[in-house]
Parts: sequence; structure tokens; C-alpha cells
Amino acid sequence: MTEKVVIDAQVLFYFHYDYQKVPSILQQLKKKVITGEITVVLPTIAIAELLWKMRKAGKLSAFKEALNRWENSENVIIDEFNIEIIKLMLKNVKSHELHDEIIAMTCKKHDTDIIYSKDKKFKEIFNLQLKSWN
Amino acid sequence: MKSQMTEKITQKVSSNGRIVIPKEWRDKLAIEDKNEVEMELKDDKTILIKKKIHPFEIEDNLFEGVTPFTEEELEEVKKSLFPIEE
Repeated sequence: MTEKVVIDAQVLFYFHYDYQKVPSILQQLKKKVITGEITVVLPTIAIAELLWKMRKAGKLSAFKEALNRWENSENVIIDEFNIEIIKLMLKNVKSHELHDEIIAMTCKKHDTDIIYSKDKKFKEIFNLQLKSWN
Repeated sequence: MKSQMTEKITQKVSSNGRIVIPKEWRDKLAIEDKNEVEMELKDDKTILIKKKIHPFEIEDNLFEGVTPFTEEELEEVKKSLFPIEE
């Protein structure tokens, strides 16, 4: 059965970075997406963050090509921030940083508790299984 | 201009239209068991078989020259998404 995981902007960046410099946990993730063992969910908010970075770096055409690849890849889901996520946020009594909450609720929306990120808050606040690297 | 070499073989088609991609060719293209291939039927009655490539397999270092996100950048981009008045 294919495992579903959510990734953040940092991971998304590494998917198109010099492979030798990519942390091994993310090299493995990429391989598993290719073989179909894992489906990655890309929150649109994470895509927007990467757009912000690539535009700043003057690499818009590289970003457009990456977007084209995500849209045409099997085992890649581009998740839109929508009312379903707002309804999941309604279940949280405490107020959180919106960015983190939207990504965490993207996990709930896709019935997974696995997130690839370096942000410890996903584990500490939202009780998700954090797959991280050094 | 670089000339392109074409290798040719002849094979008998077995039951249900099966043919075998020679091992040497499979090795050259790194085609392994359970990999998928794409087949195109052309107007000139030829069939083109290509190894199906997942876009993530393209190792062209698309983001060359850009460094991974720093902690400061991550904070900055979050603030840019949802500005906080200080």
C-alpha cells in the first residue's frame, strides 16, 4: 500500500537540488516517490513559499519547470488550501501560527500523521510524526 | 553534426503479441522488472518504445546556484504570508 506524507517548502526545494548534497532521508523519499511506495502531498502554501524564494533568487523559469514537473508526476498531490482545512482548523481550540496550522491540517485532510520537515513544532504542537534531518 | 546510430533486431512475436526487449538494451536504458514503458504507434507503421521516466528522475540540478532555505528565510517568508504587526 502506498504511504502518504506531507512535505514542507524546504523538502520541495531539495527535490530539485544537487542530489549529492541532498540529506539521505530526502534522497530515500524521492526514490520512494519514483517507485510509487510513497505519495507526497504538496500544500499550496509550501509551494508559495518556494515561489517567494526562487523569485528572490531570480530563478522564476526554474520554478515554472519544477511546477510543471509536480503537476505531471505520479504520486504527487498538490493540495489546495480550502474550506476543508478551515473546518479542520475549527477543531483546534488554541490559536496557532497560521502557516504551521494549515500545513498540519493538510496532514489531517489526507489522513496521515507523517510530515517531512525540520520544524519541531509539527511534533510538539500538532503531535505529528516528524521525519527530519541534520 | 553528431550522427545517430540505430541498432536493429528481428524477433518473432509470441502469444498475445509479446516481444522481448533484449537484455543488452534493457541494461543500457536501466529498464528493470516492473518498470513501465510508453509505446507510440506512428503514422509510418513504426512503434516507438520509451522507458517511462518519472519527472523526479530528471537529475538536472534545476535549482543550481540557489542555496537551501535558511532559518531566517523561513521566518521571513512566513511573515510575508501572514504579516504580524510588531
